[in-house]
Amino acid sequence: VADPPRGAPDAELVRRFLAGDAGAATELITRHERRVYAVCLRVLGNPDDAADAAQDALLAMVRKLDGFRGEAAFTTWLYRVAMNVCYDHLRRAQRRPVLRREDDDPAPEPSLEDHADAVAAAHDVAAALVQVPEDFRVAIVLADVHDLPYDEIAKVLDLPVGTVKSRVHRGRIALARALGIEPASEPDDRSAASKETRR
Amino acid sequence: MSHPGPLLADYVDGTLDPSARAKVDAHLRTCATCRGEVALAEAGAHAADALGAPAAREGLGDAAIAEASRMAAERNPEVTSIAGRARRRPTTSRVMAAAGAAAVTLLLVIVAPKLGQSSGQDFAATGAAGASPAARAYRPATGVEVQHANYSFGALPDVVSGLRTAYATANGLSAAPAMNAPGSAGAEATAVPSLPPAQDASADPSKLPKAMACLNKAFDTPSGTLSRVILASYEGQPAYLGVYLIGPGADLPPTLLQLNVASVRGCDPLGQTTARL
Repeated sequence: VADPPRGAPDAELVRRFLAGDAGAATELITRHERRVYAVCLRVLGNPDDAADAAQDALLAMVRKLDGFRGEAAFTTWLYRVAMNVCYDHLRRAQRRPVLRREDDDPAPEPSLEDHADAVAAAHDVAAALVQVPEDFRVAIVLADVHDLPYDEIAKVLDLPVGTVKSRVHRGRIALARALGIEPASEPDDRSAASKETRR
Repeated sequence: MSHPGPLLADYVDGTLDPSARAKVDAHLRTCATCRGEVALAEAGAHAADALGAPAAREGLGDAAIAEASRMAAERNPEVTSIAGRARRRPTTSRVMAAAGAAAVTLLLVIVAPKLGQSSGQDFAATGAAGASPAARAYRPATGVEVQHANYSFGALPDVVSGLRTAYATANGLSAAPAMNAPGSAGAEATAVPSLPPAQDASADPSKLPKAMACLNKAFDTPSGTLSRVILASYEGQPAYLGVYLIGPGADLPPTLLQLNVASVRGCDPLGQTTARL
């Protein structure tokens, strides 16, 4: 999901926008809109809600740019803005059923290795992900889908690193269970054979 | 060792240092609960890792871009980074930003005579490139123009009236009203357009499909040729302004000019005004 920035660094674009250069904000928005949509999609679970949230998050980003102090990486700050918007959407959607298939989301980018099984598997994972409790889901989306380091996730969510690690671990377990995976039952004194069967 | 909960995420990631890893391994040999959880967590991490990037959605940043343009115009009206901006645009933005939305209609009328003159000339220059009068008249929009402006509901009839005057001037269909006549209230009203640069270098072709889809959704696919699309603010919210030329068909010149305004968020119809050409 992460792509190396090209052109001026993010912080430079922020500075130029704050000096009145609208084009600098356009470049920031264009550079990050896919990332914002991707994270919203995995947290919210369906493309239309994610598109709404991504639009709101990008608007919020623009309106809050003068609050970006450059202490954290711009992407960390942006994930924080996006997660706040996603949590707002989750709260608003609490009365609605969350579990929906992403029928218009072909999931992974096309690649040479792509085949029907992989696409179907990604659909299953996306559907299972929305069954994971939201705090755990947010943690694994940032850690395992967007590959953010734990200390960065701690800044995004304003949580201690230990809490982030715990949520990631619980989230991974919940995702596996939502996919119908159960650990092989085994006598207590045997070594962890299940590890070898997976990798 | 008690259950090594806080270490298990790192254990699954394979990022524990060797001594910590050895301790966890020792615990796992004796604890079926943790062993089962680690196996599940590994499966979960592997599944999440396989999700990949979703298909792209177009136009997600359009509302933010319009907002950024508005904010930048307020912040520093003299800096206009989007290519091909009308020279007088900053003046309008500065005046409107200072005055606030409530007074916009009135101010447009006051500022208008200056804008109207360049508007007609821009249309004339654009039209001269066309092959035949009819082909020229129906030239479709090639991109979305981004404008630092906030249009108001009350100004729409004047905007359309100004567009009509500019269109007539460009296509030589009839003499333009005496826009420069001093002291004429009618001339000031028709000069209000403030939609100057016609299909200039700032028109962004990549935004056109999303903008057209939005205008079509809001107005149920209106008839006519979409000749210009502007991304700006309307009553304080990001909006697409579509200028349609509607004719009797058979390559005859258009007889109606219609301005449709749709919200960027949700593609709802916000306003519509029609003028006879």
